[in-house]
Amino acid sequence: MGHSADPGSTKHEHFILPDKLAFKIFFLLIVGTILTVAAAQIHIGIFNFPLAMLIASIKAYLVMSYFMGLKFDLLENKIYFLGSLLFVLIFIVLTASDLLFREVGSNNPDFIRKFEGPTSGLVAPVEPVGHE
Amino acid sequence: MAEVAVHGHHHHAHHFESSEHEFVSCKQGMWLFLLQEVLFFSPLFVAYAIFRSLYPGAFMEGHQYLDWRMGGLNTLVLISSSLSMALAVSGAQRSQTKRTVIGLSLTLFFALCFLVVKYFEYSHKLHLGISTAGFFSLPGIHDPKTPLFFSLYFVMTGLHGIHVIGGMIAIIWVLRRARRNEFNAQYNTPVEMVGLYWHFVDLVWIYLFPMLYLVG
Repeated sequence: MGHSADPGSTKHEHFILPDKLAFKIFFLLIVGTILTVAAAQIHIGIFNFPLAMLIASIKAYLVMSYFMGLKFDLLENKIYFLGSLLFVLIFIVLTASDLLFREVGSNNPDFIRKFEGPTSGLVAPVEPVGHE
Repeated sequence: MAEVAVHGHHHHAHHFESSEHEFVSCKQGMWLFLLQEVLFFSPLFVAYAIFRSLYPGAFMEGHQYLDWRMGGLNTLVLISSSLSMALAVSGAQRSQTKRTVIGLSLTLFFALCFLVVKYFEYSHKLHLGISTAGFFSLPGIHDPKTPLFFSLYFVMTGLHGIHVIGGMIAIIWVLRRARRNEFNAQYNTPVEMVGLYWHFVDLVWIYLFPMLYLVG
């Protein structure tokens, strides 16, 4: 795999987070938290959630890169962690594409009824066709 | 034969060629563990995404029973704990034992604050009859799927809370070792690894706060 397994070949400098940068990240995280709360007060419909996740991801990037030092870490450690986040995304997208669109076009209202709550917004009931 | 590097009080284990080799291997193991932690939490995030898109009304109704000020306070507490942990780690890397001890103690204090706030939140909800799945007994709920939101709330924050407690145990362990002056610029691997774990706990909460308390 990487060079880390070769003893002696890894005489790189350890990254030490400078105090000034630590406080700067802390300040940005506080600002991010205030922004998160403020963004929830304005109502922009379906964009509220993606906006909240965007701010959270910027905060997560700051914690990951600087507090955890991943930005200055070995490439393989970056790949491990970012790879795991990629898999979370794959799990969500694959599950959603299966569950939410399983019955689209197959004219089976039973499935929709099973999963649809009274306030469900996403899954539109599929009208049976061919009964005229 | 392998050199016997003596840095302070620490001898690297015999199956490592050098203390650098030991450090890099430890860190690699820690990142693999954190990778596993992300995957460990991932089913809950998948469940959240799916159920929220299926039952947006239940999530809207459920989150109104959560106090965003409590969640916000805990967010600030965890961010502060991440700062004190980062300062403790950089202290250890610079052989500043006193700073490491103070930083770790502060982190432990913030972790305790987080759990106290969580305790008040949980006890208030359980008092109202808000619990998981079949134990849910809050009257006046309009959406029949609202208990599902609280099941997710309790499982997600509960699993996160268990991680906070685990982190506290790990912090107590390195704090005791730091007080015995075991860490310095040459050897501080445990402090750095516990630091990584603690920042991960903060990372999860950064997402949980808007997902549960601020459903738009």
